[in-house]
Amino acid sequence: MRDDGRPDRDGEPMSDDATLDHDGDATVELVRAYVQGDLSDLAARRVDQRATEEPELGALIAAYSTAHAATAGLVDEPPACAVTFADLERRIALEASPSAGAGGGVLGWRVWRAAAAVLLAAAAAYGGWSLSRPAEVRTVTLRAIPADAVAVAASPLDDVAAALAAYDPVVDGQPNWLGDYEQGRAMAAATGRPVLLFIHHPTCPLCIDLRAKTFRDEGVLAALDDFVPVEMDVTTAPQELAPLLTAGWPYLGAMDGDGQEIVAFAGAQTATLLRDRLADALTRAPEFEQRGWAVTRALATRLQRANTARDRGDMNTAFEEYAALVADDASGPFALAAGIGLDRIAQSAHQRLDGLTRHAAAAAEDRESIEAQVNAAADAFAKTPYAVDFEALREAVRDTGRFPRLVTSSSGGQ
Amino acid sequence: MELDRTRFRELFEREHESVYRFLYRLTGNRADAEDLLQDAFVAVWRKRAQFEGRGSLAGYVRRTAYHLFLNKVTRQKRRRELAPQPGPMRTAPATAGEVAEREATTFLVDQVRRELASLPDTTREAFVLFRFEGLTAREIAEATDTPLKTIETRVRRATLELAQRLSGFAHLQAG
Repeated sequence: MRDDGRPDRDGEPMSDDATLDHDGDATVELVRAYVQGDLSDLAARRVDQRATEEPELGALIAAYSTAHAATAGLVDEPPACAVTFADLERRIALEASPSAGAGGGVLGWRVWRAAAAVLLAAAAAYGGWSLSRPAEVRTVTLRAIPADAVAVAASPLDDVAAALAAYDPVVDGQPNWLGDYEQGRAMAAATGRPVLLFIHHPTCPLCIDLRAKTFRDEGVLAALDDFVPVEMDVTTAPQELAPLLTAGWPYLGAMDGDGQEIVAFAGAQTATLLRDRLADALTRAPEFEQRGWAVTRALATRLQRANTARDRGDMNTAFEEYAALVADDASGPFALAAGIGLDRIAQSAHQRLDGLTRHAAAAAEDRESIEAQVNAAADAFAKTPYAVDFEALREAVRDTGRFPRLVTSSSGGQ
Repeated sequence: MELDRTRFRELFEREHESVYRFLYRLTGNRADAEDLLQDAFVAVWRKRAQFEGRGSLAGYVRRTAYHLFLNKVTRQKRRRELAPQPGPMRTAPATAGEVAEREATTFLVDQVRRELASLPDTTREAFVLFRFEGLTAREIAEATDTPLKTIETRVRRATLELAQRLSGFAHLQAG
């Protein structure tokens, strides 16, 4: 920046002032070139000199400098133009009409014109088209619906949302044991709790004693609120759990949501000992972040509701539920699951649009059918971000009777 | 020389991008710009026998496009704002700082847009073409069938008015 506040000249000069056309008055191009640094040093100095002698020029330079800087945030490169010469030729061909010279001959042009009018009216009545409607194909720019198929990650919570919505780790004065280890891990990850894994045998006396006494203790049951209790019959447990048994029998241990053992405390134990060991396990759990089961059940219920709505095609309800979950659960597991749900809605929007395009191609002249399909899609996504595109389709079909040409913000069209 | 198909194609290939950009700045959106682009070239083709060779073919196309734009906005409400670019519909959660910065930028840009939109139509259009497309006053004058001096006056007036209203924002934009 110069001392007087005017912009520096940097880089090579882009033009010589001799090539600029100015007639002695302050021309706007000269001012623009000066402000943008497009003048040679010599030319810029001449402008500086003139500006001191002509206050009006100085004021205009200062004003353009301000306006130029202030509007910098609006400078955007226009999206690529998708119109090709082939498009133009098709349009010209569509609009070509018989020349005035045709229709002469034996019967005269008036008769031919009358006959043509009768034929056109008959065709319009048959096709349901207005004679005055031009063969317009509107172009709709897709702003929200993904142009390509959406890859959606699997959501581990989807399988356990229903179970979580009704789960309590303690029921009727005893642990509410889950029998599915994978389900237990997913639920543990969703609730920020470790798994308490109990591997036993139905006829083992130690195991029977644990169930009858230790696991009925009020203090132990209260401590179980911070765990997801999972029990496995050793005879049917997954083979991957076998190495755990080297810790002792019966096996008791705390596992994280990834299935990694946090700590093992196998063998017979009193309620007091188990309470202490459970408390100790929590201090070792790397991602322990307890939230109340009531909160978890509420979040799971909402996720389940959203998934159910989506599965039955109610995208509007599903979107509202997912969006609310993303906002409420911040970076929690339910927000992540809801985010995947939103991706699935995006996927559905893309598939729906794809279906509409295929239908329009197959039933090009069936306006009623196309209109019905487009209206149904617009209604189905009315409260989602994709409404803007479906409404644009609805409007185009309503106004022109034809399915529009689709373009996306990147080049190309459908 | 009458415009035959070969020359017409050459004209299109040579000029359609700049005419599209010209129309984009006027209309503010891609769809309208593309529609008017097609309308303009179709009109030039239809009236090719009437082109008298006054000025360049490129200028003729641009003049035609501009008149079609005027006709269109006479029927609709004249677009008074530059088109905002639609952003993504769902974004990852942002930090509080990122949200604040985003909101501040949006506010600044909206203020500038508002001031630009408050200019009289012809004044704003001349400034937009001059500032964002880099057209000369002579090119704007030819395209809009307006005297050169009138265009220069409009650009000058827009510059002075915007500078007065936006001097505070220019300072903020510069950081």
